[in-house]
Amino acid sequence: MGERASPELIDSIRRELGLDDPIHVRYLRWLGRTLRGDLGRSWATRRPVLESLVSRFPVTLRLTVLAFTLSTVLGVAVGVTAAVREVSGSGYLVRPLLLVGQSLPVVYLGLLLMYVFGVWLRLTPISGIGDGGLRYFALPAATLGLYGSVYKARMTRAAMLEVLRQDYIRTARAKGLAERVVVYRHALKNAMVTVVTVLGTGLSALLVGSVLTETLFGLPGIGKLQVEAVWARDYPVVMGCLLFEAATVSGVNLAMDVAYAWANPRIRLA
Amino acid sequence: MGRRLVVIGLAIAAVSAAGCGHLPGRQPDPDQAAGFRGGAWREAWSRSPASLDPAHLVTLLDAAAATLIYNGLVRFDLQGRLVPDLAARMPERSADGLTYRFELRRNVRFHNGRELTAADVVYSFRRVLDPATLSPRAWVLEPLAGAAAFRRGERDDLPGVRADGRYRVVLTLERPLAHFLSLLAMPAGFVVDRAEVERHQDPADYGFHPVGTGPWVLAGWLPGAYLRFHANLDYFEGRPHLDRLEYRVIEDGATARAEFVAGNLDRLRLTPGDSRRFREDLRWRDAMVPAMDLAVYYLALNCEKPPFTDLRVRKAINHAIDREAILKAVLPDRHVPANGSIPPGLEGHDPALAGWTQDPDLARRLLAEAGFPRGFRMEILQTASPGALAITEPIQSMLAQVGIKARIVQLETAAFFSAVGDQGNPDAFFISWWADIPDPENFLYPLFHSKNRGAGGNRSRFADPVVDRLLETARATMDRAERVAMYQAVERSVFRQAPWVPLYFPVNYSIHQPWVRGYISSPVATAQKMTGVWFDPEATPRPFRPRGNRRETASEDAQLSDTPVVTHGSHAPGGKHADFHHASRCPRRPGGVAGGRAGFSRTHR
Repeated sequence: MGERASPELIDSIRRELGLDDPIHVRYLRWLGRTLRGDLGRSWATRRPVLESLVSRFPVTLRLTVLAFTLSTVLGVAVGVTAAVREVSGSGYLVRPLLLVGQSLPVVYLGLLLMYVFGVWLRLTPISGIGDGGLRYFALPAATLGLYGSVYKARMTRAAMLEVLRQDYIRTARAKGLAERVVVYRHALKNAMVTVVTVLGTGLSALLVGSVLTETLFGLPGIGKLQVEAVWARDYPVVMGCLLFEAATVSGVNLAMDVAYAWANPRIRLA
Repeated sequence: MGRRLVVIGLAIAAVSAAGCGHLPGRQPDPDQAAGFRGGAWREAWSRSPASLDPAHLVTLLDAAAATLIYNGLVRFDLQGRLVPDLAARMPERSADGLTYRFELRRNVRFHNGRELTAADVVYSFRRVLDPATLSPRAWVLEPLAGAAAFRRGERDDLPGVRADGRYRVVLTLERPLAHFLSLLAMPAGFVVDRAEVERHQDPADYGFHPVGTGPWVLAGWLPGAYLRFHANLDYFEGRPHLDRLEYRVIEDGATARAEFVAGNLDRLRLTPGDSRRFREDLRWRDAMVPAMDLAVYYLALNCEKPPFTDLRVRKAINHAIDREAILKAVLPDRHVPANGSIPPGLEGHDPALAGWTQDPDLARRLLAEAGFPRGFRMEILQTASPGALAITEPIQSMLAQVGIKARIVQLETAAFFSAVGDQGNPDAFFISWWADIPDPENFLYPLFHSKNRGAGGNRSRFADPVVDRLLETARATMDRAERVAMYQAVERSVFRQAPWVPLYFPVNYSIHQPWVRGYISSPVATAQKMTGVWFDPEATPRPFRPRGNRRETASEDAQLSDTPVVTHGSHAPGGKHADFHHASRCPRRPGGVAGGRAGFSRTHR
């Protein structure tokens, strides 16, 4: 309201926002509205919060699909290779690289990519959404994809190493299966139980908006919306974002539980 | 009654005199400008405007965006002079100073083609004051006769604003107010089209579909991403030189810098980290343009709370602190030391105003006389910001040298304002004041009139009946020179009583691409209508080469630039810099530009 709001104006706004009611009344009202899909209005723009979430989500979703695909393909491929060639040159090379990769902050990685590919080589746009074209997602998706792939590679490698030591792998080899079949059909599918968990947490982290990456690259997704709302102390929007996050994380976790059953039939959904 | 915010050149001179200025490389040549039309301007804002409804604009950024779309009856030009805008000429003022008659320009059209008339002005002003609008800026128009009661819903008519025929507006005031026309130049005085406002079922929607009479038409707005404008070819002062404007929302300073260096932004507003970096860079250092902000940073002392009720204690604190040493270390090229509250560049600024020099012995003597030979304990409040801490920590150690044990308390912004507002009773706090209008009134009346104590603006709770009387007389004094002299007297009288430790007036820097012509920085957010800016097709882009040996991290800038939530006409936390539109660049080739500018981004790889 600014510094010079009169007491009457402040009162009328308190009434408008329902801040003059007792706390349980406010909570129940909020709950009722939320269940009906009314997340309230932004204090800054005075527009419905749901509208902002809906308009920002496609950007985040796009970024998620690209980054998730990249990180999964890259992460699993590197992880499997590192496990299979545990005692070879590439295995020794990959391990320290993964350690470095995991320690690299995403903002630094993003800036690095931005300067190399955007500023020096001019292969990609530096930031922003432009006309919404895919090329605007190249750097942010690469940043998140690389960042996410490191953890996935480490987990895949660890899980694969464990599985490859199992008796049934020895049996598979003994009965003369091709190494490719042993690794991909017998070992990888069993290692996936661990990997799916990692994929799940990674997916929900991407879906709720990558605060740092979206801010760094100026992508108007859910993550950036949260940052803007926090800076502007726009509590209804902050609450809307948090609610969205909670719902997404729960949803993805449920999907992952279902996926376990596929990856490991020994787990039954009771 | 022209407001004379001294030309930016003078501000630059002041900065240079302080030993920290760099003159801009080129001066705009308005005559030459006529020849070059076309091009798309690209700049970065650190966030999206909250709304472009004049009744709901609060921050400097909102105002800077809205001024592209709208006009008021009068406005500030880039030299800080008050000039007619929708009015055909400056209004006639009645002898009693109460009535202003505005003759409107003929044939001014809204972006939808409808002609603007006196009825639109009446509607727009009533709308801002209407209690149903809930405008945070209603106070701007409150000096109008009957406005206060109308705003409280106690009357339905608003005698202060009336249309006299199709092209004449008559404004009547409750009592004479010397700077009234400056208030009209604020965004709350922008004129809207009633049909456009009422077309939307949800009143908040108008703010996203604004229609005005200004030089730029909003062509696209993706919140959090960009705002795009195209030139209003029928603008009443002639079409702008440029064809299009694109403001991209780039929060991160490092990203903005990367875009600028790559040639994707035409102007970059520099963070303190940036200005150090560009100053060290031979290719860019002479392209840096300094400008003053209409703001002052200070350590406020609570004049109502012992021991700060004692003038000797307040003086002792002033004598204990060596501001210049602190500022030289912390903000070497981004400040002018302050002795009072009126910034340089604003009429009324008094360079001869005596400040307090550091003298720890004298400070200790004053404390002993006041009954504190061994000092005392106090708290300094500030917002949680490293920029503010860089100022308050040296202050803390300097106070310790005279025996005052100060504790620094960092608070979240909302908690800070509540603690230094009506609910709290602080000892001292680091804060800044950002003006609404370029008038010395705005740096004295809200800050030192006893009626504004607390959240009203006078947060140091200073009270002096003589100062109050002088401030009131000055507000009703129509003679400009006489009025300014009064304000200088007030400033001297206030600062003799040391309610603050005045610290500094902020200086900001921006940097332009070599093809930019005619861009004049103004501390008045609504002055820059982007009509005089053009691109020089002959200009050579700066050599571009990778700077591989430089460290590029976001953290340094994030630290100093902070959040961009400076609201104008109000207090901001200390140490928060006016970074409301640090410029940055967009990844688009500057194609379709008249002349030779297209292809720049390719030539300087």
